[in-house]
Amino acid sequence: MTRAEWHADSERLYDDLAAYALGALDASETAELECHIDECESCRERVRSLRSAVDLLPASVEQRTPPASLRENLLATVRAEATTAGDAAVRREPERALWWQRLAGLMARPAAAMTVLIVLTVGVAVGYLLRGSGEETKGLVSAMPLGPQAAQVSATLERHGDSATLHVNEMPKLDRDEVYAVWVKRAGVLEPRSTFVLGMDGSAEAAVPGPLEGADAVLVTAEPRPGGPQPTTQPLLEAPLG
Amino acid sequence: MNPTLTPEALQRLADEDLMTLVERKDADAFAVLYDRHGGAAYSLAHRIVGDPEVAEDVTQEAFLSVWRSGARFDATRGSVRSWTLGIVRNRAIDALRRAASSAPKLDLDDDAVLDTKPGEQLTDSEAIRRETSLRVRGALGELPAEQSEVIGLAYFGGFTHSEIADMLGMPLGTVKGRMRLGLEKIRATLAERMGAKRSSEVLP
Repeated sequence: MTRAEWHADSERLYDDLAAYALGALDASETAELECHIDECESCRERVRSLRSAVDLLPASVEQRTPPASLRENLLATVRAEATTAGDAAVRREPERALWWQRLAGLMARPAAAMTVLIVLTVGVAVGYLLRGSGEETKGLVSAMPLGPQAAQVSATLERHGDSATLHVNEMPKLDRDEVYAVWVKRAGVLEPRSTFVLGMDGSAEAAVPGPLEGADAVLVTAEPRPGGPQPTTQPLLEAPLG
Repeated sequence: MNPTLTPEALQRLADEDLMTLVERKDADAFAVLYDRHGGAAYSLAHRIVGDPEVAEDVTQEAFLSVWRSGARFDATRGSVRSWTLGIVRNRAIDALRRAASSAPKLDLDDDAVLDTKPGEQLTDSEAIRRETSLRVRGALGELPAEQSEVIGLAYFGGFTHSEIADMLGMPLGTVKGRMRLGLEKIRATLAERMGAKRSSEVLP
């Protein structure tokens, strides 16, 4: 259809643009309309205007407090991936100091007291993470599933320097009040490292903060939220170190 | 990348500048973005999927997608916030459709809705979010019910206009017309007042 034909029926076109801005057209209608929008400045302008209304819709819902675990899990993953990115410029030397400066800043705001508690928890883990030695021990090992529950799990441990990232697939679904906890085994003792939850496809990437030097293995257990100092269930996965 | 950026300096950066750092895998910049928009994102996901656990998963996936594909952000097409919330909305609708097709029903738990502890202290930005939300809701409440209904079904329910037409037993044209009238009214009554700064960035 030519632009003139589209616009000849402008009421209908404007209705379509509104449905498009709301994400309410099906895939083929969307593709057809986008072809036109790409070439038509006045329709692009109209979509921008309608979108500014759509953009207000999220603010109309009841505002909730996200669970602290969401921030913890996100930042643990992101920091592990930032380290893995391998770009020396990304790994800022003074980062550890900055972290504590930020905590001090937050402390100054009483309203943020709750957040500080959460941040402190993460901060301890991140402190370990950033203590990684300069020496790069790179490598990928498979993690072994332990027990029948974990039979279908596939997992790898990606080592980078003195920390690691655990990639898991098809992990058993957790109960709503559980998290997976990552432990480092050293001389028969399990040290808590981080926690993670699964994506909807049963996969996850979990940071394994160091130090890993001299440790024997990385283990994963399911734990009641928010995880504790010692495991309370049998390990589901074990990845050997060293 | 400026290795000397302090947390205070990061806090002062505009979203678009933070995105540039996020594209370079700056985790601190990402944390600032999450702290700005995570609450709105989680609230939107919760509204769509109706379950705190699924909302957490959806929000996590959406933010990881921002982290991993930040390069796909195009500042000429809108704000970081609307881009991020668009990803959250799409992921939440996907989750809703997956749940509808695979599970007999969503695992809705009445108790779980009370995930905000009473008396829990709100951060400043949360207080603002809640106030804004009340104002937007008030304004949406002024929409004729027939308009807010089709807009809600499309945006929060993920239904296409033809599904909505079937559901409400009305012609397609009527559904789309109500969507347009509703959006135009929202824009007329709210965009100038509440989103003036943002719209001026979005509109040429």
